[in-house]
Amino acid sequence: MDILALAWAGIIAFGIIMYIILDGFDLGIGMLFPFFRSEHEKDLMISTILPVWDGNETWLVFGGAALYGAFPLVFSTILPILYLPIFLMVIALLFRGVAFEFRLKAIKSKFFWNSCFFMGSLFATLAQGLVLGAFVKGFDLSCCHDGVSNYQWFNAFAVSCSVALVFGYILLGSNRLIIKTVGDLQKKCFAISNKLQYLMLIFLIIVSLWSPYLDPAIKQRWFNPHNMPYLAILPFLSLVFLTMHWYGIKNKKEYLPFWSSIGVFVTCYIGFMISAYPYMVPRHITYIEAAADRSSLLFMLVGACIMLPPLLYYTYYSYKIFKGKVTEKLGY
Amino acid sequence: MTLKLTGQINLILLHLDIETAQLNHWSVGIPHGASLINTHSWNGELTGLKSVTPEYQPRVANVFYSFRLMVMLGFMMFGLAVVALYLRIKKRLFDSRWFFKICLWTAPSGFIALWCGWITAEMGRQPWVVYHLLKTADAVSSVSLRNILISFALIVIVYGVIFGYFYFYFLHKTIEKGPEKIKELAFPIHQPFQYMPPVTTKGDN
Repeated sequence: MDILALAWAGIIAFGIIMYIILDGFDLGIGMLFPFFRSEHEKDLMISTILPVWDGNETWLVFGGAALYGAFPLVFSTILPILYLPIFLMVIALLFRGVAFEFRLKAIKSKFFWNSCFFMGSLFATLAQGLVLGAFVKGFDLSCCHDGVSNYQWFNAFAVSCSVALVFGYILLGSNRLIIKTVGDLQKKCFAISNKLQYLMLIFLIIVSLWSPYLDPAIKQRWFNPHNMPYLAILPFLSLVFLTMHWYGIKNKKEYLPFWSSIGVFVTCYIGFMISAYPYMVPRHITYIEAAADRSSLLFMLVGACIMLPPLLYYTYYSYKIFKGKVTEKLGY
Repeated sequence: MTLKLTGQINLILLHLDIETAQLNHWSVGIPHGASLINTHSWNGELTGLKSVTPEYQPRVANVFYSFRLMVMLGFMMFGLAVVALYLRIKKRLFDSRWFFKICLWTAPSGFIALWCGWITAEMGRQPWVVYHLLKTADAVSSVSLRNILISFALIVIVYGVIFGYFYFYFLHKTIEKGPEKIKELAFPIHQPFQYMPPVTTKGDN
């Protein structure tokens, strides 16, 4: 039971980080739209993500469906509380998806679809940041039985998580464009990444120092003398990745900034999980308590073992096919 | 109270006043039709609506008429396809404006049939969301009415107004552009069945 639940928690955690990294950079490219004035540059930016963006979003579906199947209690507890931000995210992603298609066909309404693409990316990220912030802060379940969610996802901490995530995604997107483009577009992205890395550092420090004060349990986990030497590796690694990022930007390396920004995201994500463990609904429901029946977990695990390798393979394969620089507008 | 209907069960096409009296006042039916559809045998046995107490019954009128409408639209579309085939064989398909008009006005029938099928399935299983295990009323999550109204309004605005408008705008643009000129086609259009000539490549054999 415990092993199965842990396996499922691991699979879901993996799905979520895959989503954060992959959709992170294409949401980031969406949010970079206003920084680039010419339609040609916008076409190129869209073309770098056109073949992969919908594949990236399958990881969100995967994570959501797996959570629903493996931890129904978490799903039914959290979704009513986070109903509005999750709904906002879905609507934003919807606008974005439609903007992808219609922008290619539009002539007069191109400005409208550009705005939809930008706003969709921005609001989806803001909503995800609010959800993340609410998770770190923990939930108050006493108020939720009468159907009032009390807006637990809207507070100063959640909003700063939201802003941090916006900067993080833009950084990923800008680093991705460095790999995928040449010339002026690439030069601009180097400049953007250069500025954003400092903002990223500032927000990382703010969020890392703030979250232990939200909850004594988080403080206890990170700052007790028994754990501290081991857990200190994570913030240290984060700083190493940021330094690599700074070095990569300074020396105009194309691949190093992207991979080191992914490194920053992964270390932050692991830190987030360490803060929450073993809770899935922080401070209320552990992953063992929330797990579905053993037979359902086992049944789904067989399915996941069959489906995950092809999913990973087609992700790898689509990036392999579409690797290299984008110099001309794509369409279909 | 359990009531099993055995033997010949007629498929009712039209009838009135079902919900109040629990019996059919006036109806047009196909003998043995329901037996055949539901059990695939001539004298199939069905568990009737009266076998469950009224609080476990769905609202019958909606299901009854949506199902009939779906089936009628299905037959209508099938009929149209048969007429098209007949016209094509008679080499009149591309000149029959009256037929194009019918096709134009029946274009939404697929959507309507789909909605009707959906209504039949979803309303027909009420009050259960998982049959005999979980009632819809017990499965509702604790989302407040205000949040539901906000999300519902957003969906209606986004789909109905914005996407609806642009969908029809682009559709209109495509229609205005019209199809490609017929003379540009490489084969005679009135030939009902046309195969590509076999491709011969030099160097074969």
